[in-house]
Amino acid sequence: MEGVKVERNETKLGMKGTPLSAVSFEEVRLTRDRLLAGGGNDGGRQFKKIMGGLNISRLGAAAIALGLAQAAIDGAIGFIRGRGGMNDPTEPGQAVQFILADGEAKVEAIRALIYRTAERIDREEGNLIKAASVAKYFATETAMQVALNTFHIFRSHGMTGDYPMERILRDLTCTLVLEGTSQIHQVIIARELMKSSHADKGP
Amino acid sequence: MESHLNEEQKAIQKAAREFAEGHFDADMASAYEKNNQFPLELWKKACELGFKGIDFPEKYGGQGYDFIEKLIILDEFCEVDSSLGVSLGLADIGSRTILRLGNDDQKKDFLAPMTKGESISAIVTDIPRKNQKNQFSIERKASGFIINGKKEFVVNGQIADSILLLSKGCGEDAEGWCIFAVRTGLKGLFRESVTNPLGLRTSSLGKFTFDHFELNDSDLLNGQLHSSEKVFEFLNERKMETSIQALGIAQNAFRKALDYSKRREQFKRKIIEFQGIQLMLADDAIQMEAARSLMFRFFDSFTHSCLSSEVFTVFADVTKTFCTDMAVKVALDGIRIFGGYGLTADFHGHKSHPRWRSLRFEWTQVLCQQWKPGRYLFCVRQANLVPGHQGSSDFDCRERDGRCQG
Repeated sequence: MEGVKVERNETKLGMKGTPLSAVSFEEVRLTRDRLLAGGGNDGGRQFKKIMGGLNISRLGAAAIALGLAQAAIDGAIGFIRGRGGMNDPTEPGQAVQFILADGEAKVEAIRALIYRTAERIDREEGNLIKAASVAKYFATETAMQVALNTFHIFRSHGMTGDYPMERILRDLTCTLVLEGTSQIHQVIIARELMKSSHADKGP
Repeated sequence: MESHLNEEQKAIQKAAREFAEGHFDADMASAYEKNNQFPLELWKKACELGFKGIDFPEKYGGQGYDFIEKLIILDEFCEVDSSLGVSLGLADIGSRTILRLGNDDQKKDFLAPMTKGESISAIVTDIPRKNQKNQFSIERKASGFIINGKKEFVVNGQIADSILLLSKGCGEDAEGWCIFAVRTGLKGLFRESVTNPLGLRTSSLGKFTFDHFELNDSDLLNGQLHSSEKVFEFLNERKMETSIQALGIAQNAFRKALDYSKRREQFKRKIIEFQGIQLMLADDAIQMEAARSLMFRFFDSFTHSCLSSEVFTVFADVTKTFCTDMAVKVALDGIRIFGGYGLTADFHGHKSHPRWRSLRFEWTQVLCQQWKPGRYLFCVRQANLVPGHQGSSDFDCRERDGRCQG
């Protein structure tokens, strides 16, 4: 389209499979039939619907974090088995056991929260803005904790590209920031809490 | 660190800062990082000005200072740029072991070139772990040794021209350590690059494979075996170096985040005016102050040389774990404050720092610092090792029965 220019492709920390670019608009002409929402006299209803899409994309970010945290644990187990086989297949020490157990518990909690929130969005039940923010905030922050702990199991091998850990950490860092940083979601959650006069516990 | 430094140390600190600010260029650092390249020219310049080998005696090409002065330089370098600072710091990684345990010829041979910008050092350590075989085998011959096996993670691995090889139980004495100082380029050593490391990209990480790598008796440091205690002194010093690197990098990340939060506007306010940002920055400042206090304590104890090797081991573990964990938190908080810019772009900020490199470099670098050298397992093991360790008062030399009046 005339006037739209991709300024540059950013090099970024993680999520390198999705290009991120700076785009500039200069005198871009749009016809009226391109308008999705906001122009008519619908009282902003359409716009609200579009903003409702944010709930879904926020849950998407949460799901990315869930998958990455699961991958971190799976990778760590594979790593322990592999290394153990080479040397001595004894069970790992408690330091390692606790990291795995704590990670597994947290991943299960993230999974439960995400699927419950998804169900609520499907049924349009309760305060979805708050529910989506809670899911995104909890999932990404908790997944990051899990990954940072699991990283220790890999020892210095975790830093190399031969094991998945370094990519997982880089990608997870991105999930903390995309679709609104954790801090923004804390603000949203608190704002929604202050608005409601009764507890919104969902179904 | 001002109040804990003497005049001479302050002058060294200032010189290191001026050198780093004058010569560390953001574009240059990004280019090295992108190509996984060691900053060779910069290192030569640092050698020329006497920053490398500052802790060697003058007769081996050094400046005759001590370990603390080396740490001060590392701190300043890392505070200006995480990638360049760390890789310059690691260029002479094996030097202090040679300095401590080598004979005069070996010191002359290996140390002087490191100060002249002619030789880069690498270390290959094989620490035996419970239930695990050594990573490589060392066979004693009538004269000399033959080494087979591999080492997967060697800093400076691709470019080093001198290696320090440490292994336990290779000689007649199972408790003794063989330490060899050798030149690379000998037959039987194969190097590969480590693919896409998380951080440390300007340190030329490599993998070594030894296939009938032959060594002479004269390669053995001081021609004898060494006790574990002597060997772990090197590890303890590496832990302190890593701590101060993490501290410098955290300082840099914090400064950037603070500065950015004062100029970035959101919701019609500077973001520093929000409590959420204030609390994060305040917590980071608290953590950094605590880490710095640990470092001061070490400086004091080292200056009065009243750390026994056992206590030093625990103290170094504590300091290293705390400092690197702190740096990981501070760098990640910095990324949160920068938002998307923390992940991507370099930041065009303050006049005195026309271009700051993206915070993602600090973040990946400190993650690696957590594992160089190892973490939990070290601490668990060392805590069991120290007989009668009574908690933190052991670290304070002034409380130890008059052994040291500092």
